[in-house]
Amino acid sequence: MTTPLIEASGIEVRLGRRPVLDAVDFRVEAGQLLCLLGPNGAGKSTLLRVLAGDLAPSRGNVRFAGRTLRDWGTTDLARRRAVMTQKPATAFEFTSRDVVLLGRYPHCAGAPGQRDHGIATAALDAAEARHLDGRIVTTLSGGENARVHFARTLAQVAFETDAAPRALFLDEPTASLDLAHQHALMRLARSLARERGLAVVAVVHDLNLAARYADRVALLAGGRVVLEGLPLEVLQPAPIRHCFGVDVVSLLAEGHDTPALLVTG
Amino acid sequence: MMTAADLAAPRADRPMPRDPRLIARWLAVPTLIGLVVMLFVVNLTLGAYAIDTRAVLAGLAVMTGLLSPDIADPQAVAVLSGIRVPRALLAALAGGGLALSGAVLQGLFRNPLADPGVIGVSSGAALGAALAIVAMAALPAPWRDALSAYALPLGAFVFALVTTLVVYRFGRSEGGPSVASMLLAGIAFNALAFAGVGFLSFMATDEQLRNLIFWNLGSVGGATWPKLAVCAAIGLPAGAWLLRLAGPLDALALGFDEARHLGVDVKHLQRVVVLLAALVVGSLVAFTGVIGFLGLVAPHIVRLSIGPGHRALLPCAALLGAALLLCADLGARTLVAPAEMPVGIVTTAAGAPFFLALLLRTRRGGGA
Repeated sequence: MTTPLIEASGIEVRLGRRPVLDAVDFRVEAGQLLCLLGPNGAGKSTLLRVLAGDLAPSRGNVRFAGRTLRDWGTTDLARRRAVMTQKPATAFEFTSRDVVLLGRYPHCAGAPGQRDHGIATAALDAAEARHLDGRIVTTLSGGENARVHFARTLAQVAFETDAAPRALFLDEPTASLDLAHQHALMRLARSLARERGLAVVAVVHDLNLAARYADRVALLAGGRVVLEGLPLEVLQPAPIRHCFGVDVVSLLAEGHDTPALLVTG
Repeated sequence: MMTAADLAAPRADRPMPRDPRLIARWLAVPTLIGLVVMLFVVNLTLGAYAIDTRAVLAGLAVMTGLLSPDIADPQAVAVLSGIRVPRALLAALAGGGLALSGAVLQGLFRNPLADPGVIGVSSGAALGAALAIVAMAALPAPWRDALSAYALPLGAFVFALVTTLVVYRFGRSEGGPSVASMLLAGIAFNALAFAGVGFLSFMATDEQLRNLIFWNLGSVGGATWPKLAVCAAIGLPAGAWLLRLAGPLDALALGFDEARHLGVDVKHLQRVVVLLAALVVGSLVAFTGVIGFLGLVAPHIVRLSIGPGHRALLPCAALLGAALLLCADLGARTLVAPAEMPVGIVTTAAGAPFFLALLLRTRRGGGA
């Protein structure tokens, strides 16, 4: 892995005079699951929006596959990266399948064929949302809705057969999921990275979830990346104390290889 | 549990999507076309001079050159080609155009309660019409006579477009399209336009006032072939363009950011939809006056019966709008015969309670 798929350098975002992101340098390689961690207001979602191209930084730039985001056409970019936003809300009474098929929009110009339907089915399967296929999305629970939208992002970037590296941005994808689905989603995200070569960037709040599945984690606080590296290096009591103001101890259960963090005060 | 390896082969044995609205979607277009054709013919038969269905069909055949003129009653042919056919065509065109514009604006604003009024096109047209009606009186007589046929539709059309553009400019923010600020700008400019109309009404003579009130109630009477040609020349290409925006409008239902992630140029889409809808509605309203509720009700009924997918919704809403306005004009011409009611009264009087009933039903049923 030499050139990173996503490379942000000197990112600065200001809301009024307050810096939300301050001189952030950041890179993600294809085949990696990277988790963004940090307290509320640290700039995690803002960084994700900058990486996804939703928000133009006031300084610095983002390169995707070697080209700055400005130079990408909207459709070309849509074929290479998918984004799951926080709490996506659908305006009309579309079915779950309609929503997942929209993930195929950049590939089929809005006219899904049999292959697109097949991919939608497989994506619903993978997100454990197959049983929601014909349901109206506006009637789904928060967790069900999240799984349908996760399936949509899978349909967008997880099934292409060419070698072009792709990226998946997930903003708190596990926020409304139950315990089993949180782990299923993260496990799938990791295997997408390892086996499909996707670069997956996910904002998560559960440090143990990140510790268990992430290839790399970045700890943000006050609009800066405080620490970035392997989960075992980063998720230590001292930096967690520094960022969250919370004391933790690291426990290793017998027969397991990932330590769990326990809050002690 | 799933791993990426299981994603490898999208399955070929896909089940049919279990959307109960799917069958309705296949039946909708043929059914609606049949309904429009039927109502069109019925509209041609009824009136002060009764023409039976056979004579109407014979007359239409003569008019279109399919049959030789001696097969039909010349007087019936004269009534049909001079009055009823252009009137019914204008009703169909106006109904279709208003409903289609309503449907695309609802899609753009991601809100089923948006209608052409929200972008200022109706209030702008009303102000233009009021100006034309009142200001014309100030012109010297020869000018007035020469301009009278064009001033009103031209004034309404120009003001409809100008108001929409102003609302659109105000509603634009630096970060991208801002629907909220556009809605707010629309509300402000609607109020401003109606203040203008109010002032002009206050200045108007009794006769002008009557004209103004009737224009605001809407009518497809007074349709002529040249008027129809103008409406069709603007409305049909614009409508065809709008029908092609079904895909991006579907994506927009997920949200503005989400649509952009899927490759939709949201800014461009917003510009195109607003401009085309303003052209369609402006050109129609210029000749018919304000016809309420169609743009709101027709797409809503279609969405409830066949679902929100724009590929089916847009053509079906246009067809249903045409059918509804043909139906309403039938009522306007027959309910108080031999007099004639402005059709806007019929659409609003019938549309509003129907809309309320739909809302109640949806709320009780927990969604369509």
